[in-house]
Amino acid sequence: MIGVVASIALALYLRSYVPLLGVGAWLLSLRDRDLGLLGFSVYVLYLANSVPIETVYFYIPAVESLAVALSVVLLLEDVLKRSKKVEGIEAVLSLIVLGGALFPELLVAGAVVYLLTKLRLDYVALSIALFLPVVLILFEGNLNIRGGSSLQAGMISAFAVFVMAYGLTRVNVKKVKVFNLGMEKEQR
Amino acid sequence: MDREEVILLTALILMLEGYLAENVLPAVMALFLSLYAASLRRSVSLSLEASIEIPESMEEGKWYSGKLRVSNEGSAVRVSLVLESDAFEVDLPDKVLVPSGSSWEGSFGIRPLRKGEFKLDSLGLIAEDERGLYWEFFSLPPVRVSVYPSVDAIKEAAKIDRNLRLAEFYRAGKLFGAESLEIRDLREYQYGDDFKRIDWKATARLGELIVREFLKEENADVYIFLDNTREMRKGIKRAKIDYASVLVVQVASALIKKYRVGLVVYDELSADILNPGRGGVQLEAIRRRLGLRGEAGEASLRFSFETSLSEKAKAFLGKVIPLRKGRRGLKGLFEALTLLKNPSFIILVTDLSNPGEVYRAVSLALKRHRVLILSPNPVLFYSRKLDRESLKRLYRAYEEREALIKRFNLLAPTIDLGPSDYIREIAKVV
Repeated sequence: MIGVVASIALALYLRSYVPLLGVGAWLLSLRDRDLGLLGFSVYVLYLANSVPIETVYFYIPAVESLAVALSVVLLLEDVLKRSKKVEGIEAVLSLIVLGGALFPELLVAGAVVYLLTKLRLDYVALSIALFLPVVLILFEGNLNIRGGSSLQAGMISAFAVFVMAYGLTRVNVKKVKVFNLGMEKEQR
Repeated sequence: MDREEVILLTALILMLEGYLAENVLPAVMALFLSLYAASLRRSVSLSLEASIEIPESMEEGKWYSGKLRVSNEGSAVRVSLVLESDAFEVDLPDKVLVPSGSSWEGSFGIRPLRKGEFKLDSLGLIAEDERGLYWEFFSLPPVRVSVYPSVDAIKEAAKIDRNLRLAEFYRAGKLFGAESLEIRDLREYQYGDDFKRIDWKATARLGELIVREFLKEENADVYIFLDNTREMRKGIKRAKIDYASVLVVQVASALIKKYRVGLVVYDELSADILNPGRGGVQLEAIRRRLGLRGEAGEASLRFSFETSLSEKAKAFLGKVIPLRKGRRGLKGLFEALTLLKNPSFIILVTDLSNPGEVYRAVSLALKRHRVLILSPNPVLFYSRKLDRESLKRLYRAYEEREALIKRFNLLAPTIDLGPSDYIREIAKVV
């Protein structure tokens, strides 16, 4: 439920209805996880387009982009888990995240703490991601220019691709198909 | 497409969106989604220890409760039980969440749909991580189960069609109970009476056919011989042994009130004998011996007495190649016949697929016992697709079979049975 709270907090902060569509995706997931996942994908693409951020070299846009990205991850966690229960630590962190309606830093902090407790973060992937700010600082002259949004997006995307490629190198994991299609056959 | 792939594809589209729309936010979102997916994938650990308890002996068509114990040694998972078997119906609980490092114990319903001996080796658990992205199959140790015919199934089958030919025999009172030499009465000849019973002196005196009626000894033993050779066990949809087992229980249940009924199940090599007895306990014992199972395969539809080998060739092969199952003879049937001490009444249930041996055995048996043959007709049990070739083959087999039945009828009363012939008449007459 923390993802739903984060979406509401984000909607209040941005004064936009768009993050509230995330609640719809979560409700869909309660009916069917795959429908919820597809709804989430559509929501995320729409949300990304509705909040323009031109640069991450300034504090407020950087914090806002972190808040939006982390709220999306929290919502994905809720969509996949499909849980309506709120555990002890989640309730406390939900309150902190709700504070993100006024201060996006609270949303970021609450989200980071929650994800650190729930996920066993892969340190290699994390290191790759943490190297990004170093690269951004090193190449500020080339990236923080007029019309440099695409360049910054490209640089960040490159790191995302590295993380993705690293994450996919693990083998021998059976993956659940969308709508369980083909799973029974594979199981035999 | 996998659920994980949906997440990664969304991230890729976000990267593209960010670059094309000159917006940094989508790229940041894509980075965090990739981090999330990578962490999940590399940290997932599906590891279960499980045990299952199912009753070893079950009655066909009845629901039983099984127990499942699961111990989770990995990440939190949702567990579901899987059983792939067309012989069982399973009522399973919904996916159960088993947190990391904990155990769960629960029960489920299982109902056998067919009788026989089964080895459940397709039992297993599917463990899915709590986010529904990854899964693993854990197989459980195989379980052996015996399923015996249910009383209800037999009663249900007994309501279907009558066997008129058997009704005639029983109406005539010819078959049950060995007859003593003491004459009970003289009466007029009736259609179907044995010519040997005609009392010629009385006939000459009275001017019409008169027959002798002997006293019946109703304390003779009745043995039901059930053919459990390979040909009887073959079947595509339904093996002859399935039908024969139901038939045996019906016959036994009809006779057991008045006679001591025993059971002999024989195959190519040996025979299993249940000594005769009366009452419900004996009937239950007979029923439990009938957990016989058919096997997939098409019946040979060969009814010829003759073989392609000469006696000399058979003797030579017998010395060179040792006796193996199904290679030669019905050792079990002959062995069983030698074990019958007293003159008895034998009901032989066989498809006559080994006619030469059965004929010799019955001829031998008739020296001391009375015999009735109930024979499921393999032609009537044919369940494959009917086309031109198979119809020709079936017609030839049917003609051979008719000749065979005639030949056996010269020896002992032989009744040809199809899948829908059941012996309701016995219950009426007896």
